[in-house]
Amino acid sequence: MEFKKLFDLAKKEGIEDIQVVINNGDSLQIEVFNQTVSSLQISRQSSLSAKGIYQGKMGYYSTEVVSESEFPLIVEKIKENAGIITSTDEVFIYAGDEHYEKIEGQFNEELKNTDIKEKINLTLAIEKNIKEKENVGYSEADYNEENNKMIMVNSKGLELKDEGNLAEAVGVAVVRKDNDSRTGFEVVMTNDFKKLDAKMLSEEAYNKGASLIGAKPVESKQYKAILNEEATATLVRTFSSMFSSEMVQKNLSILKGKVKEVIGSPVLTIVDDPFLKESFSSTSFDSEGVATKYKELVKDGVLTGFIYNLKTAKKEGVKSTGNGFGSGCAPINLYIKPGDKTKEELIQGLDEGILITSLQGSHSGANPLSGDFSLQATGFLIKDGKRTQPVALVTVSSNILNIFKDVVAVSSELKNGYNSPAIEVKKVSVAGL
Amino acid sequence: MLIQKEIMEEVIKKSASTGADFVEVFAEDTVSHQLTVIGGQVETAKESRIRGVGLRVALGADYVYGYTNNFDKESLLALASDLSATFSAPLKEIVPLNELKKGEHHKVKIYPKDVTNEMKKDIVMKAYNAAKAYSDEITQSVATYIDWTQKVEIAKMDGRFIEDERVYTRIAISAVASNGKESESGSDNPGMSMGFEVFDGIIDPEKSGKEAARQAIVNLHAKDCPSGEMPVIIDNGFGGVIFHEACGHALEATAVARGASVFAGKLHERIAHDCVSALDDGTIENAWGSENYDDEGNLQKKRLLIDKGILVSYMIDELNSRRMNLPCTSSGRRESYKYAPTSRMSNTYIAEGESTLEDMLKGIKFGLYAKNMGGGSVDPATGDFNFAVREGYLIRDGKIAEAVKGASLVGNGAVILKNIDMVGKNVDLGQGMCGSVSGSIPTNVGQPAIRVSKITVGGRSAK
Repeated sequence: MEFKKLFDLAKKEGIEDIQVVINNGDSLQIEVFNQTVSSLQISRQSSLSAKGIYQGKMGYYSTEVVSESEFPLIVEKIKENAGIITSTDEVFIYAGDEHYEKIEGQFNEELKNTDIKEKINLTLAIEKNIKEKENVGYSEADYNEENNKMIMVNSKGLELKDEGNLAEAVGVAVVRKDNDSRTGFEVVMTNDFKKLDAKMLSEEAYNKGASLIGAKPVESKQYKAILNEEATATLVRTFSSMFSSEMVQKNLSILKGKVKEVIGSPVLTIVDDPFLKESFSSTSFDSEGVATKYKELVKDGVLTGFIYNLKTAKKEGVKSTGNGFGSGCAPINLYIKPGDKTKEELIQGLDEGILITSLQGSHSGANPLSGDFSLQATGFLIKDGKRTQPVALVTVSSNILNIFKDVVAVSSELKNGYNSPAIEVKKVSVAGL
Repeated sequence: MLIQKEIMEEVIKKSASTGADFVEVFAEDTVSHQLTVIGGQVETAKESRIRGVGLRVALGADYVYGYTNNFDKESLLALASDLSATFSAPLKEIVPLNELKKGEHHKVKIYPKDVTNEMKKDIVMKAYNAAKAYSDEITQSVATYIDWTQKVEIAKMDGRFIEDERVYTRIAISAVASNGKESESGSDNPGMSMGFEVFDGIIDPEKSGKEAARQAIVNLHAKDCPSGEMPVIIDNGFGGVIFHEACGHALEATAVARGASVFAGKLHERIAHDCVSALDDGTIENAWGSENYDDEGNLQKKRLLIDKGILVSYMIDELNSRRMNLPCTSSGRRESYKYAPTSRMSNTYIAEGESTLEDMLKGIKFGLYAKNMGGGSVDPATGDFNFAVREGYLIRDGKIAEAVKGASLVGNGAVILKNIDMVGKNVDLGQGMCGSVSGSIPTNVGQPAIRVSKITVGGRSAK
């Protein structure tokens, strides 16, 4: 595509600057049920999204009709949508940074070239392993793969390219026994096909379901708790908007005015890591074309700052942190920095408490404005360092800042697929019986 | 026309060339608009268009699916060729495509494409201003106008050739109330499957703005909800999310056909108290979850799911109908051409009963009155669910007492259905976007007020 034509047309029509992003991708999804490929899906796709500054306002238009013949419509729509904006916030099209980090291994040609038959065989193998276990009422396995190439160009001379691919293998086991039924689910993400281990995945999925058989509510009270990787990831993701400078400026973040203050225990460090391996989100530039960087937003319990895009940075006279996505700010890979002990060591060290293995309902049971949450949980009681009674149909409530303050320890590994460690906290309230 | 009839036929022929007995071409062109007002200023205005083709090829109940947004014949035939490579069976009959049939039940008067940004802005500003003016304690409000127009063409190997157009218009308003220390929010998100005429007497943006603000204020002055098991009255409208989550998803063939649902194998058995009847009706005129044809090209229907406590029907799409050996109920839906369709809900609600709110309150010594519900989720294998109470009050000695916040309802679908012991008369519907395997689609939930004899309430304070 000859972008100069678009840039010239835009200029002629009074658009000061314009930026275009084109994505070209393909995907593969395989689903196996009952040892047959019950669904197989392939796609080839391209899309174009454009934004431009007209009379000082930003207008947006995106389309899947990717063709030079659309240029006049793109220009017209940008003007139309910019024309209605009354916000006086300054808007930007960025000329680019001097240096962009090179992220190794984001695109693995070998994954894309691996024969589809091998991918089907892997998915079949995962489902077979699960199906052959005891008391499995339902089993399913999935393989999802995405390959994407994108380019970003703008009338200020910016020209960036990015490519990446990732495969995800999933095992699902519904275990039925003693009039109870429990679902186990496990996922592994990588772009190295050899790392997808059918046996490990199916064991994990099955064990997650089987170990919860007989789960029931427990006494309502405060418990010492360990949140496993999945539960910790859910909490961090649910409340991630509190680190957004946009939310702070709009008075919608509970962290407003707390920079340099202690907001967590000394073992709590929270990072936004754009260069994390085996994450589809990893990128060396944001959607405004700004170079991304590794940041410790909370260091040893102290809030160090927020994430910024060009607009919010300008308002405070600071630099963008490379977190401009969509029309706002978003973290790239936000996680609690791992500590020293393994998750199992944390469990072994707990005399009495609860291990929380999943938290559900975060889209409704959590209030990002206040930090309060009340989420449905499953897990296990822990007694003398061992998992005992499985637990379900309880809610776990606290406030995210209380959780931060009460973190006693962080486990030593980021678990693949969730990109999170496990944490131990002094107390959560559990509502059950 | 998105794709010429002759090209559709060639694509079907190519797809069926290795013995498939089911071929479906789904072409789509969708334009959507969104305009957002924050703090009284128009912050963003966006338009986007998706346009592509999804091709589904099946033999028996197993299928392959592919999609592309390249409309040229060569690309479509290449996709057909890739997909058909999976099969090897004797050739089946292909019926030439009928004349194109167009859905005409749900009428649209003012198409979004004919509405200016100024008109949309006026609507959201009304909602915004009403929310802000409600109280000094309202510190922030965000109002969004949303519309999209989806044009689809569906062509099938058995000769069906269908066109449908769905127009959706909605506003979403949220308000934040704050006393300097604490903040709480409220929201209202009404929508219909119709054009801009919806603002001429059906959706009142000012009423929505006030409602969002009212909820936020109530929550700001509410105390933490106690936890424990108690009787709960869930009021009408969006309260139906309980049935949607706890029961509706488990009645979708997606879960039932594979035995992954608690209601699998329970057809014609009692699954609920005899005061409970429930329907899924995709034909309600211009309702948020309605359409003329479903996404497999079948005329939408009204489905009775539970008749006085007895399970009488699941919601079944075409391929799951083959798997289950039960008739298809025209329940195939999908977000876009990027998803293969599967069985989904449309406008799902508990039917009118005989009780009044007073009847229900009588005899409850201590319980919860959930006036407004938030979203929730469910594990279809077990039926375990949770959902948030957006506006709640305690019930003390048969009377509605003080407001409480932060409550969630946790339970099990199969169990709660049997514990609904009273059903009211005030059926209403509430709009939501339902996410599942075939993407995010507009659905209505609904019910009259219902009483659940006992359910676990999760809250932040001790009982």
